Amino acid sequence: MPTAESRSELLSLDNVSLRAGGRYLLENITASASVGEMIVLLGPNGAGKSSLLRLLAREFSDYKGLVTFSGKPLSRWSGQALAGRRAVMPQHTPVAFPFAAAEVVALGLPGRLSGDTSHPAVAELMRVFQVDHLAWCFYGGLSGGEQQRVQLARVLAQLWLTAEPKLLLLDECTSALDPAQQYRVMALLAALARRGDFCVIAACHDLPLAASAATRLWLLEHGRLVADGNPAAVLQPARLERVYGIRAEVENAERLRVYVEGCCEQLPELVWPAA
Amino acid sequence: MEREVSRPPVALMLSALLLLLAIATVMALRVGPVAIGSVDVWQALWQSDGSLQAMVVRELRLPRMILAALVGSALALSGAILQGLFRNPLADPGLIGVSSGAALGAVSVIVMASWWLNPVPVWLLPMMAFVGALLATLVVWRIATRQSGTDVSLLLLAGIAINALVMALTGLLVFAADDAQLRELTFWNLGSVAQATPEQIAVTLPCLILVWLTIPWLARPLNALLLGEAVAGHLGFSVERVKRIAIFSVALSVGAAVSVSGLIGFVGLVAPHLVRLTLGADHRFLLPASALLGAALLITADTIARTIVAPAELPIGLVMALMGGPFFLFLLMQRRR
Repeated sequence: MPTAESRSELLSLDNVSLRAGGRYLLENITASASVGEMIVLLGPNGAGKSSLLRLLAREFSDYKGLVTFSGKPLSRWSGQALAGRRAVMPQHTPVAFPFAAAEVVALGLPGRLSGDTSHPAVAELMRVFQVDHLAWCFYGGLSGGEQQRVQLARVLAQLWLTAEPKLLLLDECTSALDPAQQYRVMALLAALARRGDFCVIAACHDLPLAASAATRLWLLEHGRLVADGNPAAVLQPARLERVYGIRAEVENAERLRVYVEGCCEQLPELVWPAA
Repeated sequence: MEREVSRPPVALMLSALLLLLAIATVMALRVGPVAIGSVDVWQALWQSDGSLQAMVVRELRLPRMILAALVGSALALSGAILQGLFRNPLADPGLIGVSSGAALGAVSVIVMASWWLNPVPVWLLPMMAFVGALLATLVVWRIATRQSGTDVSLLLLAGIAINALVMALTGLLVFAADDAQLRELTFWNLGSVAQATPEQIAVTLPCLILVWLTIPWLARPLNALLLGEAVAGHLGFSVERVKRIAIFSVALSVGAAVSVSGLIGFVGLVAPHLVRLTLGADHRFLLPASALLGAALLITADTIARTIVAPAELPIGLVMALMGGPFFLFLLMQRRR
């Protein structure tokens, strides 16, 4: 657990709402995140996880409420200064043109280093995410999971030279990974947060995976933040049944374990046309 | 370790391109109806001894070669920038209608300006070519770009529509044109650097220098744009400003090129593609290397155009289309796989 000094607040949302097409994508969200935290963003499809991440990534400007990053309103940051402090991984990053994996990672390097494949950060990050053997393969030829790990390396390369507290926003960064890689990547990100100069906010659908790595969970439903706390506090069977419509067993021994079941009881019958 | 991608050293490739350009230059000055040896070319460049050979080199071949180099580098560079902007290797200023826009601007000055203005100011034609190129780029941009990227089919269809519209409008202007203007219109549609004059070079060069100056500034943001507009924003680039400057650069270089040489296609497609095959898509190298290759390509095409059916001469646009057309088909066939 981080000490009191290191838990300095990096990001805060005060009554933030985002409307699009006459409905709320996000509604009255108040929360804060500190350095040292690994926050996993949970919620059913369409709950607003991506919208929240994109809002924090400053892709929207027409939201209501106040978002503060490192003590300054998000809207007042210059693009360059913000890019030095926070990195974003979208759900999908298609890469036009034939780039090698290492070249994609090097595109993440800040400022004049951008594109420098010989920079030590490129090799180091690719090693950590186990894609170093693919460094000079075409990015387009990699599998979805390999591409995702290359993108993780690219996103971290952006913050490689930053000494100040850093924010990492990841939208379903493990969705294409095999189970071993999922746990590995989440554990790596959690370790990064524990270093004390990172705050990681990652959207995810896998409850056991989230419980294994997060120091805090944000549970979204219909654009509202319905639970905010440590995994044991948020992952209550009654709440999971209400939000997701699943029965879950939560075993809180030394480590929190979540067993998901009972999603298939009210399965609609598929009416297939008769031949 | 499996290594699919191998990149030759950039310095080596750039030197090779410079060498290629030097060879093309020497050939362009030597070859022709009057064969001139390298030594004589060299002497003629420094001082005119009043001989026929010196006159041919200094007054015919040299301006023509310089203009071909400028136009080639302008078209190749604008092709490379457009392809980065649209995230699509098929975006060629000729194919997507940017050159047509410039040509319409130029052609309307040729035919209509004399109705109101006498004499027609010399800057009017290049300026209208620039305006035409800018408008065409903006139209294509509005039609073909989506939040998620560029729709290739919309991009090419928009190009077809603009090209057809320009052809129709040029056809209308033909009825209003007198004989001298008709000859000039034909020259525009086929593309040529045959009437190169120092004045044309003086018009083109400053525009191109302005565009070259944007290369160091544009290269990194264009790289980031290849990962998508949102990601380029996350990386700290001001995406809207990058797009504006890129579109302005393209319009300026295409406008300058078209106003002196008419419609020459495929340079912007072929040169960046060949560079990308070897050096990769990094715009820091792609942009200058494309400009060099485009210059060498058009000098060579012009040398072929004026020698292959000598003493007559082919329009250079035709030579480029004969080389570029099959190349474009080949690219399309590759995309099917």
